[in-house]
Amino acid sequence: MIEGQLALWLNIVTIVILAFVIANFTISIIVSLLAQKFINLQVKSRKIVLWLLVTLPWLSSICVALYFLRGYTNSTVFQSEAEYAHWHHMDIFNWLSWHGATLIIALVFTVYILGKKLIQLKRHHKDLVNLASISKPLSSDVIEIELPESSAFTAGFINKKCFITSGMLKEMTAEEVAVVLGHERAHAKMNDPLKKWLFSIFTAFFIPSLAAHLKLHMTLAMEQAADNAVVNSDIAPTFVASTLVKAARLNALYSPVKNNELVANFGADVLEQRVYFLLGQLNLKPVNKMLTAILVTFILAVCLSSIDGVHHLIETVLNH
Amino acid sequence: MQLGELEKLVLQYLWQHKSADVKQVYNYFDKIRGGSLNTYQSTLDRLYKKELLSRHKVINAFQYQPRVERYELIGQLIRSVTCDFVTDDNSLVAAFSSMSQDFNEEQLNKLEALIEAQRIKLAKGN
Repeated sequence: MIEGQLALWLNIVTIVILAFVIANFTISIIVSLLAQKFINLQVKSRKIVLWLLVTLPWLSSICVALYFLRGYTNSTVFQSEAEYAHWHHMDIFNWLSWHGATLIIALVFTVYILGKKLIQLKRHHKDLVNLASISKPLSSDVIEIELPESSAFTAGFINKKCFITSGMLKEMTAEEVAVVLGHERAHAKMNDPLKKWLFSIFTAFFIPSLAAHLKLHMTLAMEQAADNAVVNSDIAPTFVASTLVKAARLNALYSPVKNNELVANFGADVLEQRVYFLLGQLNLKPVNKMLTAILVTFILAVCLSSIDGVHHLIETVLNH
Repeated sequence: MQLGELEKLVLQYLWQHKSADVKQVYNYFDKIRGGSLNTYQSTLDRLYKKELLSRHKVINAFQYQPRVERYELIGQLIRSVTCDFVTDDNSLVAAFSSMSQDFNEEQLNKLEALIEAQRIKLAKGN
């Protein structure tokens, strides 16, 4: 059994984990209920909301930890245990208890997720270097892959490169290639490969089906933002849309470049929504700031008020 | 799959020359970049172990041939770069029903017709 300052910190970490799970559960319910509404948000707003949703469990748990820390540093243990949000026996921590088990499981899971992502990143980097080394640079940021299949994608975190296959260059006109490369360069400029990877780390802490849904929404938002960047460079939206459909047609002939967290590709993602977006057929609205603030406050309140309840519930279950 | 610089060069050489033994590889690269016969022997061995080369014995020496063509290796690398972390949750994708790999000819034609209609509408507006 551990007592004193170390026990206080270990209990705080357990509180962080509980708050994280509660926030994650609450957000999962909200996302399940409102997921289809996200599609009606403006691209920029949608990206912000998605980032907020995946980071909110971390932010809420940190806020809860700070609240508890403030309580136990500014008052006595007995005063704190009578407060609205409290934790019993804060100055005692036993590894052979559900507190200890929770902490170990959370630690192992976090290390597993981070380790897995880093190994994937390392493998991805090696394959990317190999691919670049047997391909032909067209310019400082564009590399031609000699392959009859049609595809284009952007990869790399710091040294970002746009890859385009010779098959795509052959099948498309110079104007269409300009659209494809404009789109890929927009991905590179917006650091989308890095953002996709970071987003995938945050979503890895959600249940897989929900994580896939969130990633799909983020992919669509990133693709629409890149399409928008091409339109903003004085290219007709209808031309961008028809290039997109042509790329999809060419992709369909071969194995398409699928959804990936480390690359951003042209023509393989959520095509229909992108075409409607380019044709101005979607009535996209900005996010309701008041509603978002209420949502964040609600999640924080749920976390704070549930800590003691969850604590008692677990102890009741274990005691029986 | 990780390929060293020399491995890539030797692979390129064999893609061009189709078949060679270690002495032929060594004689070619000795003039360009130097290195010992052992260096090229171990490079060929590594490529063989990575299943990128096949080999058969002719008298006392191995003859090496590329096991994968250049475009096949590129295809493998693209798939690896782009498909490592694919989430194959079709039920969720179906909620959007708009991933291009699920698109059929009819759906693509419908989108093209929509774009054309928009073009005509804009042209009339101008």
